[in-house]
Amino acid sequence: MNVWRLVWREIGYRKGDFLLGVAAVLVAVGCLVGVMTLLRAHGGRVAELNAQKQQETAQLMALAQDDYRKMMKTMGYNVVILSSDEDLSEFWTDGFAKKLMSEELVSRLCKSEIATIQHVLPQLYEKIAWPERDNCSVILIGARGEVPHKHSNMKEPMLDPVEPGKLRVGYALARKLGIKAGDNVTLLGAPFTVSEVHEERGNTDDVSVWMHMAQAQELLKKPGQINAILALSCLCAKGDLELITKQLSAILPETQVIHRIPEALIRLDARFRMATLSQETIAKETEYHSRLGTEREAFASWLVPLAIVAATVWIGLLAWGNVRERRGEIGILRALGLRSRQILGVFLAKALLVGFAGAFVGYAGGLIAGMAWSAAEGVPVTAASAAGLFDWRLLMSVLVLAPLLACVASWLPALIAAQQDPAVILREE
Amino acid sequence: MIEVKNLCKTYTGRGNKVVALDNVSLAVRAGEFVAVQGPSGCGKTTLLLAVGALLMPTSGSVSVDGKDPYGLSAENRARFRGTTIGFVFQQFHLVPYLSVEENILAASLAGPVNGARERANALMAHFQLSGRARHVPAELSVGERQRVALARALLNQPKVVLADEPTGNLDGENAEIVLKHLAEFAQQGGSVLLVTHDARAARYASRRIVMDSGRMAD
Repeated sequence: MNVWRLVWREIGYRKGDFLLGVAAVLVAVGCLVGVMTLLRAHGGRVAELNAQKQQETAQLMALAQDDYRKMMKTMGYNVVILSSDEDLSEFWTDGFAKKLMSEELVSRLCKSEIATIQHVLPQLYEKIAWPERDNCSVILIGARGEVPHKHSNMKEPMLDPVEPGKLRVGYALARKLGIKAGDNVTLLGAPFTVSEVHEERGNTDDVSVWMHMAQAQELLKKPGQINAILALSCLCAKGDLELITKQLSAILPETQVIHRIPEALIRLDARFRMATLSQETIAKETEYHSRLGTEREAFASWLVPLAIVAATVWIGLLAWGNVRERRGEIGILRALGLRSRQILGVFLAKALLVGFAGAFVGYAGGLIAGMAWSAAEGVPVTAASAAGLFDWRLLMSVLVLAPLLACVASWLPALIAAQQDPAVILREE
Repeated sequence: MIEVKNLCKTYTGRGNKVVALDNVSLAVRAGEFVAVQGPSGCGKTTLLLAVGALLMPTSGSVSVDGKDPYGLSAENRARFRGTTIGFVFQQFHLVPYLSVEENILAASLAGPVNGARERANALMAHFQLSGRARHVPAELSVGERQRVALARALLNQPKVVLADEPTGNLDGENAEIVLKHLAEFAQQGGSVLLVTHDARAARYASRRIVMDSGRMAD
């Protein structure tokens, strides 16, 4: 025979009292766990939405980058820097620039702080008759490859530079002259190997040949001279052509800037708009769940303390009733030699069991209620997310704190029981 | 075994003073069965509680088994009570949710008792309760309940048994059984102090004391 057996037997005898005590703890713990579960579910949803937002934005931006790159590869650079003397009517009519500028401008541009353009590519153009090919008209383009920009890391080049001694030939020209990759040809007296024949582009590129800049300058007798600087506006500029023009004019005042293929920018802008819309939609949903979470936190801030206080009072009253009901028992147990602290222990042990049982059932009930509540508020709980809602630390906390709370609530009645005078009880009983 | 000298107990409350014991002196030797008789309110139960280390006297001294229980700390007094004194009451005071066996073993809650279960079984056999071991008090007759209370009082092999009207709720036959067992305890060397109105007690008690108005009448 021991105190625990005594407590256990008494619980079995007064099941109603015990169940009422358990119910009080259950309600308090259930409120706490239910609200915590709900907040956790909303928090999880917000995190999920944020992750989704980041992923979707990244995907859209990657698509935009890719689109842009593809478009620019196909359609060319969208920023063209020409000499201020260049007649734009002729430029658009002929499809290439004629006025010369110093190659030094490229160095100046690339050493500047400008961040709104990238992929800087100087070029030298001249329409010539190809003497070794029946004076066929071609546009000779000298290209030195992209020049590294001071402001940012070197991007993957849009066009590979033409190596000295190599020649690239446009689609229509190659077809007309029967040229194919690997052929050895002579141009303006210099030997070249055709490294590549371009696919059809539907513009003057189809009747052009590309060679290394230095070789072109030498063959055309225009050392250190170029006609144009091609560049690509940065994605960050989002097509703000006015800004780019303004910045370039400040760095290279002896030039003029024109922009090509605006349709590419329109498509790009559409991508940005989609990304923005997607972000806004997700942001609204995130804000909704955050607001709901805040409202629930406010709700919990008074509900949970109220439930805990009510449970404490309720357990205290039950313990007090139990002490009164067991007065005779206390008297005889004292007469049998039980010390005050043993009597105290009998009542506190019962409170511990009430708290423990209430915490256990309350946690399970609160978890289920929280999930149901969450589902009702538009955050359905799946099997995978349910595992995330189970918080073993919260379970451990309530399994420790609820019995402690029950002991605190029962402390005063238990103390009164322990201090009762057995002589008075036995005389009165 | 029990020695009470010049014992006084005055209850105070609501401006009144009630003298329950007035200079009572008494000695009960080992093996002696003393019956204390007297009208209601004469101080019999107060005497019993004072001897039982449950009620601090206003003055005078109490010695049980050679020790003054009121000279001990509350904790030690409780332990002393559990090991030295057995109580039997008119209302039995059995714990309602414990079985017969558990009620008897409840006397071992105060501290470990060697062979408590074996002794409880022996007491149940002695008091013809073996067949009722698993029953709770509500399922017992009043005679059986009092025998359970008596068995519980004897579990710790006390030196003294204090009985307060143990036959008050019993029929003649059961009263005889209880008195017989108390006498048997005394014959085995224990001391019994019985407070009773029951005239039959005189036949079993080795000595009879009459109290009146808190004093020994003769």
